[in-house]
Amino acid sequence: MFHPFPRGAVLCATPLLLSVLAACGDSPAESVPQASVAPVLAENPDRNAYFGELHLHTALSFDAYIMGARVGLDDAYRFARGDEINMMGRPIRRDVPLDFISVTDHAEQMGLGVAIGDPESEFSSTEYGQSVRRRLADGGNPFALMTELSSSPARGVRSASISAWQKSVEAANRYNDPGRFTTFIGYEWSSTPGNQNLHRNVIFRGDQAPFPFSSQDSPRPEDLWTYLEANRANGVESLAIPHNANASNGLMYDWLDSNHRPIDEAYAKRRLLNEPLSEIVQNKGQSETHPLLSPNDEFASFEIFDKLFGPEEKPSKLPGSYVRDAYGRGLVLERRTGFNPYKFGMAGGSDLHGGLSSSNEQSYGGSTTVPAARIDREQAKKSLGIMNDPQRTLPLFATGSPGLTGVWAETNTRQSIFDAMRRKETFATSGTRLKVRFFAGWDYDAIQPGKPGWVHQAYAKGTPMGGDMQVAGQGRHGLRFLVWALKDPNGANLDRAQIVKVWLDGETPRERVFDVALSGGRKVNSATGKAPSVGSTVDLETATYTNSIGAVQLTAGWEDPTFDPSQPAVYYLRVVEIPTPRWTTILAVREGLPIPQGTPATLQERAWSSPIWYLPGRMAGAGS
Amino acid sequence: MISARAVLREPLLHFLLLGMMLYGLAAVHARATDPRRIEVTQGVLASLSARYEQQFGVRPGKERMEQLVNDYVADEALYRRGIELGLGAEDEVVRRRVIQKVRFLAEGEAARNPSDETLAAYFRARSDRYATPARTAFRQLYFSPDNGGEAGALDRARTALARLRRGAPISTIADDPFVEGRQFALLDDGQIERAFGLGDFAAEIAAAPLAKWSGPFRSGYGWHVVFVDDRRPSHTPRFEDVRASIRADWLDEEQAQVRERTLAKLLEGFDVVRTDRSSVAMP
Repeated sequence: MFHPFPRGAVLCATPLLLSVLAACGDSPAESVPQASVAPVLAENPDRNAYFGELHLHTALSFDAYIMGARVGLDDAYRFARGDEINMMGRPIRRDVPLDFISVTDHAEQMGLGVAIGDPESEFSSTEYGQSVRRRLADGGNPFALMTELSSSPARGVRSASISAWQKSVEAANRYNDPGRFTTFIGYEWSSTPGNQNLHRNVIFRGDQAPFPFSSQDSPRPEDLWTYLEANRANGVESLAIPHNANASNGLMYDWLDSNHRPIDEAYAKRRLLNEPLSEIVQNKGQSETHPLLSPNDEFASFEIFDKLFGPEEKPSKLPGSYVRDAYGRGLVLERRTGFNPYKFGMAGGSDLHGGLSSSNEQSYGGSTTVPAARIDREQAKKSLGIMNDPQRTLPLFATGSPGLTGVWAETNTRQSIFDAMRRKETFATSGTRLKVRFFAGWDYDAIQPGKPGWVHQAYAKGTPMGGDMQVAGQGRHGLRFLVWALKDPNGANLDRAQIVKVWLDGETPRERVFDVALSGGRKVNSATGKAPSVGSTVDLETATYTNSIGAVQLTAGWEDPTFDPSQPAVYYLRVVEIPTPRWTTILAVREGLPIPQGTPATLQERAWSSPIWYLPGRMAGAGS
Repeated sequence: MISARAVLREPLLHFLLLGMMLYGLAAVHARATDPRRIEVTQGVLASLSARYEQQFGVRPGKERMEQLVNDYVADEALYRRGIELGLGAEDEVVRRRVIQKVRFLAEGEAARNPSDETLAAYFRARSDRYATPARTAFRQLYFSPDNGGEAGALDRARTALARLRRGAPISTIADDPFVEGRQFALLDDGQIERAFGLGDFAAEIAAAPLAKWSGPFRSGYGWHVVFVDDRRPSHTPRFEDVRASIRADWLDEEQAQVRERTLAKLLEGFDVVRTDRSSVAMP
């Protein structure tokens, strides 16, 4: 089988390529290596998987600065694209470069920490700035100061943020390298009413972005959408990605809007338009589902962080805080109002606050600002809960190593990746570079996932992840799903592929998890509906595992045995790896410290695809 | 009677002399014309307007402009009063600002237009830094551990390699489909690692003989037998092709050196007395 777009083929046909690949069209006598540069902008119509970070803070985020982060924009981008940088006096490099990134510093008091810390900054030259510096030097509480600054009309506060935002935009544009490394201008809108998390990251498509709308402008998501819509009217396209629904106390996917009125058509339309994705996995837990919401899902207990932010860390209400529940609510709302506000796809991120985006278990050591490679024994003891951190009631070992966003895009450019996010052709991972494909179609009987050419046929005859399936008509056959998953070449083998179905039974959402592909020839027990465990190769003494169990690739063609053409339903793919040591285990072994008892010693990394919606009685192209 | 010496020590006189000196530089700054005269020129308006626009993205309106001018006048009066009183001498922020300005002055002395000979010599001394990486074009056949386990895959790869070396056509080999296909054109190590995983695979490809079947090599996915079609060694570009980036690097380095030299020279003019160490014998 020939690769559809051989990497060496230099395409000089289009003006776009000509403008970027300056080497194209040079005389044949030109030096040979120039002409052999891989065609980084060649478009693959069957789409490539690109992995990226959509949630990272640098020292420009005020809280990050207070927590000791000093890594700025340049090192953040250079590290993400795979350059070696200097971190605390020694070189450090990311294990595998990212394909794309958005640095999303908090809009609120952006850059103020750096401005206060720098005696030469404009802010420090103001009377107010000097008073702030004096108070900090005298041992003032920086977090109290953060609150004070948020309501300070003092001259210098806003201009410091304006200057930080200009730097952020400029750096994003400077590091964008079409075909090799894509950067998106971005920021975080950090609304947390009563410690209930409503945060959104705003990601811009192009090279211009106005000054951020912050939670100080308004804490209501509807007002953030107004900002996005006004920008859109001015030709500036962007989207907002909510995250940490798990810490939203049920507000993220509520039945009500911010005015406590039932969600209506107008709300649903605006939400769909402005928030096509949700970040469901990151440093502070996952928001797919919770064991108490999904008692029959044996894989639901994964990186649980079901507390509100803030010093008290009170429990966060479960319903309305997880996406599987939200998908069901969306179907109910659609039945009631004709519109579904919760038709979004999946993304993942780090939310680290130290400027260096990491994603694997080895790189994370329980600190949001310092990578594992720079964590000393004292910090390791705090991370592992051996030494108490008086600042926190919830132990650091409850935090997880970061996640990633995967996108299926034609090429690694802002346009191509942003458009993939818009059409929800995305998947979230717990940090692994496990690739997943997921299609649905009425005429898929002849297609076998994994066989050469299957992707092309699947696109031609059906719908990829993120899309809608309309009611049967043309096809003679039933609704069929195509599943394909390939392991991370630097990670663990695959345990199983599962399809999660959420459907409407009258007005009640139901859910069920189907094992559709199992490694090692295992079968689902027809009596219990469960498959035997894949087992474990993890050695807790050395914090290692072997790929002697599990599969490199899993594929399936699957038809829903419970399919009812009259029931609306949501289907998404979840692919689970074999057990591997959790970061806590790796750090404990490295430092010769005990593995914490309060958290699992191993985990099963995973990927979640954006769903495919089955909408009975809807004409093709109707709705959203 | 006031002595001439006392007059010469009179700060007011110094100020006046300074004022007269600056008077000659009236064109340079409105402030200098007369310490008691604050002139709002077209130039001042333009700079106020530009600064405002830079911060807020729009030009100031008429009313806003009036306010900016009032602020400017007030700031000038306050600033001059502060200078009169000698404020700022002990202020850390002012001190840092002055230091920064002197540093800028020093950097300004760095050469801006290096000759081609200078740049070429710089390039020759560091040509490694500008080299493109070695690249390999290859075909590969993949044998997945999913099909017969690790040992089975290795066994199938070995058998296939032996057959290919004896001249069997590729079409007769029962390999497994590989996600990125069979053919890979001129990839460097980093690109090979992205496609096949970290580990020894990229180095093995780089070392594999040209136009021969070799392997089996283990990637992050399984076993591969490989045929290297083409290889381009690491290539040092021509000076002319990378002149711009050499110039930027040279300027960076030159500036750093000038900074160091200027500081060293400046320090020569000072007696630095370390009384903090006076009781300890210096080695």
